[in-house]
Amino acid sequence: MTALEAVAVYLPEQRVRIGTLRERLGMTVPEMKVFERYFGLAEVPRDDGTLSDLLVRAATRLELDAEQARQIRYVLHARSVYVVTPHPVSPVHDVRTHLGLDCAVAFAVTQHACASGLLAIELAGRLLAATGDQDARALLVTGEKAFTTGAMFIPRTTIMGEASTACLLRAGGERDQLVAYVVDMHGEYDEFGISVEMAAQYREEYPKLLAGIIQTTIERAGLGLKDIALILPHNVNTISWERVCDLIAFPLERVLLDNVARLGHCFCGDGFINYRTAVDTRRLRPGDHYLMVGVGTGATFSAMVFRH
Amino acid sequence: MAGYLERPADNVRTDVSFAECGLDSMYALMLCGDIEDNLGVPMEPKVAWDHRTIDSLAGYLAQQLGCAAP
Repeated sequence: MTALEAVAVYLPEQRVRIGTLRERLGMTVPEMKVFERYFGLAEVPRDDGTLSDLLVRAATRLELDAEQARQIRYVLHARSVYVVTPHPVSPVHDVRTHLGLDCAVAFAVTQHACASGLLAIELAGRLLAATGDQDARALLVTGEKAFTTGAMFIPRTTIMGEASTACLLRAGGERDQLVAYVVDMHGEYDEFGISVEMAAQYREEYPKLLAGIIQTTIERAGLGLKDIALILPHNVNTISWERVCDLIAFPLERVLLDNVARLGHCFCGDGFINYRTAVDTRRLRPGDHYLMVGVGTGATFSAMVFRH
Repeated sequence: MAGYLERPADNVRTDVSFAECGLDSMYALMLCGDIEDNLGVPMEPKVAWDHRTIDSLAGYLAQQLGCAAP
């Protein structure tokens, strides 16, 4: 059973108020007001370094010792954007080199866009299980740069933050065991190729699809909503979670929304960032079940139930 | 509503949903922001979900303003 052995987060100190980005993002004043007043967004982190620097800063926070480093077979970079550097620069290989993990296989996972973090957990778990080595580990990193306007925001939805996470995974173990994983893909809502009408329909359907993946995953885990101590959401905005909670009658206070205002949507990293916050603020107790949720442009809805 | 739809107010039906008029949830929220700014009535997003036509929203606002009146 795949387990999260350790999770580290790097949050740059530099923050940008989203209102200062309005003109660059081509947003109207009423649109920006919606982002600030109703979406719950206020500021986003920005990092001065390269993408490789950003990832390394999270990975080094795991403080791996020589033995742990030796056990790492795979290094995965889960990311939303599939082209992030000019060839031959490869941030995931830079992470591998920086940590001295020369025997590990390094690759990126992008196919589920912002839900690729969950996909990478599943993939790493399967690869580790196939080794037959209980000591084998995988290092999963997330983090992206908001290089371009297209990478800085999702129109009518969210603004992206630059932060990074690093997660040490193993095929077994007691800590944060993966209990269930469900993916629901809706290619008809690929936002890069659909009409204005379909995009509007997607926004209307979104809360129902998100509610659906949450309920299906919890059922797959053999649990009910009452058994979920906490939802670790994406940090896209707060309003989508208010609507989802309304639809499924789940208490909003059991969705960890603390980071939406100060971080925005940090690509594939939101779930891991929120995990760190949940643990650091003691909102998860041993034995608690929690749900990590991701949604990727394309559109992919996915969720994982873990036992803490 | 007419401003967001870019058509004369006479051509906007008050008894059909914002979505059917061509305004998605983003516009409904912008409308809420406009109402807050112009009428001083606090507008939580749930209002836009619960009152999806002009008639329904106007009824809600009348109630709110009536309650607030001395």
